[in-house]
Amino acid sequence: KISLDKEYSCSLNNSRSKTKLQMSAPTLTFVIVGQEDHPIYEVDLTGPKEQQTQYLHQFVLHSSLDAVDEQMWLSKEPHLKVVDRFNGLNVTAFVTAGNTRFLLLHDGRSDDSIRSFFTEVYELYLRVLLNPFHTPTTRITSREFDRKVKLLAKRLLG
Amino acid sequence: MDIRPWLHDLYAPSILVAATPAAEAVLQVKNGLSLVDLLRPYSSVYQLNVPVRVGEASVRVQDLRVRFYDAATLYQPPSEVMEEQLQEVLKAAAQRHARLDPVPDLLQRFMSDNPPDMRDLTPWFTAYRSEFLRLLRFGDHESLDYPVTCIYAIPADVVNPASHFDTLVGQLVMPPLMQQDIMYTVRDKDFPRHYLLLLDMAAGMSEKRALENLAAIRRLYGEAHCSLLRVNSGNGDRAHSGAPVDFFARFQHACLTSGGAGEPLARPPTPSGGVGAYLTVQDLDSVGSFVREFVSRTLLPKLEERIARLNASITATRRGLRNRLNRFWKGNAEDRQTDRPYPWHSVEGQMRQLGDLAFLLRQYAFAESTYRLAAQDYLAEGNSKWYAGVEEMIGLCTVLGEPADPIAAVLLQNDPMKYFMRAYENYIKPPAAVLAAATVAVTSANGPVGPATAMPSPPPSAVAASKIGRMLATRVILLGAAVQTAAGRHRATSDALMRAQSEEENARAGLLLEQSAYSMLYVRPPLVRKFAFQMVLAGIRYICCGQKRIAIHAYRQVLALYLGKKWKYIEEHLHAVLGAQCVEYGDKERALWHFCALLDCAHRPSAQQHNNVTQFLNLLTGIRDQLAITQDGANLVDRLPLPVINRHDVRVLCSDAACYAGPSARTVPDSTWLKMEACCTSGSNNWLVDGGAKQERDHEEYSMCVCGEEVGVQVEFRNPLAVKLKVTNVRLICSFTPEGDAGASGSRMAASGDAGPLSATAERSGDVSSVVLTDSAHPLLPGQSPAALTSQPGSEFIAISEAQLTLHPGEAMVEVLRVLPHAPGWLRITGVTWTLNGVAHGRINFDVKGRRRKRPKGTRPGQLKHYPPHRRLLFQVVPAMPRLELMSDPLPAALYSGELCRVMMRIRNSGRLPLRALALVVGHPEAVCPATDANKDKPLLESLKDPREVVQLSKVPHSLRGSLQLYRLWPGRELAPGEVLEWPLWLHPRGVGTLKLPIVWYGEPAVSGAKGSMRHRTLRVCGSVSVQPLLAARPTVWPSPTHLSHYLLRLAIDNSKEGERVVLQQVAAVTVPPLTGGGGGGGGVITGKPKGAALAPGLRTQSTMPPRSTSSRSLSTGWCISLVGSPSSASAGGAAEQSQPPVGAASTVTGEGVSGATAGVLPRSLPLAEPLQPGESASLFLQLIAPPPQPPLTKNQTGPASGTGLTTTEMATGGTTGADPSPLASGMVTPAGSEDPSITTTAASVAQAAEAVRSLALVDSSSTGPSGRLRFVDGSDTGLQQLNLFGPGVLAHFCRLPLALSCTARGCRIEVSLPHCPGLHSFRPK
Repeated sequence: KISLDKEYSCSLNNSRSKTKLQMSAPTLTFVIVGQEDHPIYEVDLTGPKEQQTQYLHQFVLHSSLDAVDEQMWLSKEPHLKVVDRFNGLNVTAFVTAGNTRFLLLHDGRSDDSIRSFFTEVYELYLRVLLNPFHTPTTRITSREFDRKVKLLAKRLLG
Repeated sequence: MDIRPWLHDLYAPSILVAATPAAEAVLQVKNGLSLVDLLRPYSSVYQLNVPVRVGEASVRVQDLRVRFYDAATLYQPPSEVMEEQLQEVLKAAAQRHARLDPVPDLLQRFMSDNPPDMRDLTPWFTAYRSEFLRLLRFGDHESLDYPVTCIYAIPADVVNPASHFDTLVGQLVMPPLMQQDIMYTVRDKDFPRHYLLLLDMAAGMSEKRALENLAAIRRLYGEAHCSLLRVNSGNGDRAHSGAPVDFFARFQHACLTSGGAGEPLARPPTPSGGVGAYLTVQDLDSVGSFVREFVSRTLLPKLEERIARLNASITATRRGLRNRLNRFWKGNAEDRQTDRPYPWHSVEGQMRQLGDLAFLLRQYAFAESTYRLAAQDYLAEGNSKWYAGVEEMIGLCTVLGEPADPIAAVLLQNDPMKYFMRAYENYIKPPAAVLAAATVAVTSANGPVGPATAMPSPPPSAVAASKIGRMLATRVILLGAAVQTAAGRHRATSDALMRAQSEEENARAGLLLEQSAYSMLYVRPPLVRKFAFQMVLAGIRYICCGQKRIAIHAYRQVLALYLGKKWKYIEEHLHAVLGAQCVEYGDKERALWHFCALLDCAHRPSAQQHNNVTQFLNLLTGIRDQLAITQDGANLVDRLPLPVINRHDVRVLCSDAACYAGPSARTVPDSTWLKMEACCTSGSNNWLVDGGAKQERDHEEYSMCVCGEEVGVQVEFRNPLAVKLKVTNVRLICSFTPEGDAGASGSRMAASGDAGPLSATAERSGDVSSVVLTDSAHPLLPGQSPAALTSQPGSEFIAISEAQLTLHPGEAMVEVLRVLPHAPGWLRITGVTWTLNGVAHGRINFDVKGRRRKRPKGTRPGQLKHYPPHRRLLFQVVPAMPRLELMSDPLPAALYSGELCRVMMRIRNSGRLPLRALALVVGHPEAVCPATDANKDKPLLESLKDPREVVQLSKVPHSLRGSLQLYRLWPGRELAPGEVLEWPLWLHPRGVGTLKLPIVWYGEPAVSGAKGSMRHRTLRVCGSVSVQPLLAARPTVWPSPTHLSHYLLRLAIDNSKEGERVVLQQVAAVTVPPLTGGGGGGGGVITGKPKGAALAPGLRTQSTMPPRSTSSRSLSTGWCISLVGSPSSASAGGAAEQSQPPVGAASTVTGEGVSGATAGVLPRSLPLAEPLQPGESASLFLQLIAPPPQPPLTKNQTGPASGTGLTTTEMATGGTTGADPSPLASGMVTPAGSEDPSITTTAASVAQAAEAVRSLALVDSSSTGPSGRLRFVDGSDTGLQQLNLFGPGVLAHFCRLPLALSCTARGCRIEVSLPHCPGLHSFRPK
């Protein structure tokens, strides 16, 4: 248990070790959050992470929803740029007309590439939305969608 | 919320108190108090109205609070001691205030108009903060807590008090900072002093002497600065004194192990009479008046003097243009970093003291200007700590300095946060010693020595200094956050706190995070998700520092916000942490809940899955009553997620009126069965019962089952993990209401489940049951059969069998769970229960998918939805019934096309009652039962031996005729329970592929049951045989060049490559009689027989043939065959029977025939012995010899009726006109029976098959004995001809060689149809 605690403290507190961690594996997690705050699509675009990092990422993404809710009234654009930061992790958001939120957790990428990524993913998402059986809380399990998102990420986000 | 009272309380002038041991003893011995303790309750003085001049302004001090400290306690404790003490405080506060459960309705309260007070939410924070601020006093960079006056106390009755005072001052141990010349020292001649004489009344001190001493010291030290205090005028009785019990204790703080922070090392022992036992109200009043006198006559005037002195000095050196220019030229000479404290007499120290004194006297404007002045100095000097200190004070001055306006408005104009943040930044700068060490390290690393030299660790004093610096930084943030919160800027509060927490020690970081989290809730609208995140972070910090209680509180507070939102990693983290914490905390039940939620961890590596499962099971091992573990109204047993059970899709395997033999029978659609059963039941059923009436009870559809017969439910178990799971004790949860006594003795619920205390069950009987009845409208309401888990596996009414299974990683398994009702009544199956790995009990209720009713009849699932019959979980258990059972599947796995096979069906009556009116429905035309009416009155057992005697092919309803055959067996006789019936069935597959053969056995109970019970029972059997091709024939027919009436036939016979080795035994010509609509023509039969088996063909005579009852069809007459090259006289001498064995196939050919008594038939069989290996073909050249013409007497009646029918006579006439143009001349004619399967022809073909098989069976039984192998086929056998259902063709009779050699009992016969036989078909009637 003590080692567990240590892990937590390491991963969540020590910003220095965190930056080191990010050096080794860049953070790039993309989440689509449905209208009722359920994550309906999640993908880690830079490969598997260790458990504590996964926890942290979800926490940061979830808490950034508050920031998204605030920011989206300040802008006419669906793309909200960086809405939240935590210990060197940035969250960039995109809000669709149906209040579905695209969140990208990254460690400082150029906003232009993220914007184009979001726009492209939005196109894909609209196609998912055309499915009459898709509800606001349905998880997107389409393999094709997944493949295309990964492809886009590779192309646009490197 | 106004924050100023709190800040005022924090800062007050402090007074040093020193007393001789004798003076201390006066109070300690009798009252258990020190002099400081005695003075502290009176430290606030009101309505003084003393004029004080601060700077240029003169103010009247109305109220003042002072703080009394013992001389020996005026130092800051070491940082480790502080941390220890703070931990203790936090732990105690958490123990007292923090509940493990979350605050209910927290969010609703925040959304409402009056949000809860932060202090109520986190009382431990308030306690921690005040202790933290207290312990951080007496820092070396701020003079706020330095004593401004001192009080010397001696006993009143001493001789020569002045010498005592001198001794006291001389022996006084000065605080460390005073020794270091940082604190304004008492040795200074201007240090304000007050002299106090303690007069102990109880000890009988002479008051006269005291007054003399007072006068003496007044003369010496001045009138105003000497006092006499009378104490101990009480008698030791606690009741006599007027002070409340905790009067003094409220002002005492905790003692530290190292002393310091204003508190002594240890408190004096409490005397027998209690604290303050000798103090009366008069004493206390005199203490109060002493303090008041002291403040107004000594403290404030002396303070004024000191402020004036300091101000003058500072004005001389720092203020004004000249000084500023001076400093401008001189200063900035070096860019140095220092954290050296300034001595009190230096200008820098004096500036700070002046500012602090003004601040303490609440002259904030003056204080702020002084601080600003000092700040420039400190900044220039690079003394970050002092600079941070004054910035902090400037911030406080801006907060406190505007008395008039509402504080929020002021704060909005002028944000003090920038000062606080400046102070924060400077406090966290590492002290100079650390920087110096770092510099050394850098240089040494660059030097030639290399990195081998270890980095010199900074001196411990520097480490302590940096720790203190960190704490001071946190203090600034705490003050700033409090100010921001008071101003309503919660977001700024949170920002500041979040900034401070990241590098802070765990406990404080946790507190800061928690405050930050709550301040997120004060924002409008509340930032709930940020709150949750920060609470989790706080929880982690708390766990790291061992503050489990608040950690759990923090986690629980946010658990509800996260759960159910499908953020799986978040939930997993919460459960993992809370589970581990609950285990440590000894809260096993909650820990189980969290671990239970962790069991769904298929996305984790297998080691961790194993871990999760084990820790859950280990924790559960010790718990006996798992049902008692409940949370939110749900039960742990109900929540066990392993294995995954599909509760929506179950399949009931139950035998109502229809029983199934094996799973394959269940795959056949119900409509097929119903159609087949309708043949037999049509007599007994009418539209009232036949499908029209719904089986509904209380608007709930039910199924029927028979008592004594098992009801099975197929449930799917799946193991999602990579861990092997052992599931034992799997059984259904049922409730049972016996028939009849539901009204009388109450609904006796018998239910079953895993081990556990039983609630209301049948075993308790009587009173309990009646209670259940009284409050239940219906005994079958599922709500009325609560999760009653009995200790027995069943009851007197039902027996529930247990199953166990082992699920390998990722495996899914469908298990059939069974319950056996023993008595008639109502059975409801509600769910399934199991035990995981022998430890964890699980239970789940079925929630079967169904079609929703448009008008629900009630609230139960059965009333809300329509269920298909195999999903109905309510059963009416009817009394015992007979039941048919197929003992073993008799069908062979594979047959060759055209093979004839007799299978023996063994049917047993496994019910408890005899069965009558047996009937058999065969649903495929390629299987028949030999039927005859004869001998129907034979006794049962005998008739069993000779089954053909008692079977009767009955008429089936018209619409079904053709596809079904109905046989009634033994009319009027019964099949007793346990009796076995053997019944032969003949299979003659003609197609290729899989032959699905549905069969229904039908029976009625011998004694008709009660009303509502079943009238009949059926057994549904579905066999499937895969039919493979074996022989194929390619005939070619052309007219004989030599005889007009002869035709030549080349018959090529191919054995299939995948087939077996066969021997062609015989070729026979078969002339199919014209049927109604059936295609006529000639054909041949090839009969095969095992090589080497000597035959005597033609042994049979017509006498062995059964008498043909109705022979509307003509017997085949005429055609005979011979191999090419044989004497054609055989055609004439048809009656000549040659019985020589066919050794050489081609050379010795005998026309062989049967002497037909009625129609002198020509020999039409050729015995052969042609072995055929798989894949081989044989070619036969045959000569077809036309029959002699016969008068077409009867044939003309049928002949014209059938378009393609041929009669022999017509053929004979038609033989002359071989080139007769006909629509069928293309030669692509296929027999009508298969080409146009109209109902009538199919029915006819069934009849034919039955006939043929019957005849063959007779031949079999009579001539070949029990081996069942048909030895030889007579080509002229009409039965055989009729068996050739496809019309014209050649029958190949053969034996599979291995079978023949081993003499097994199975006769094989393959019919080769010759659909394209243009030569034959070209003969048409005119």
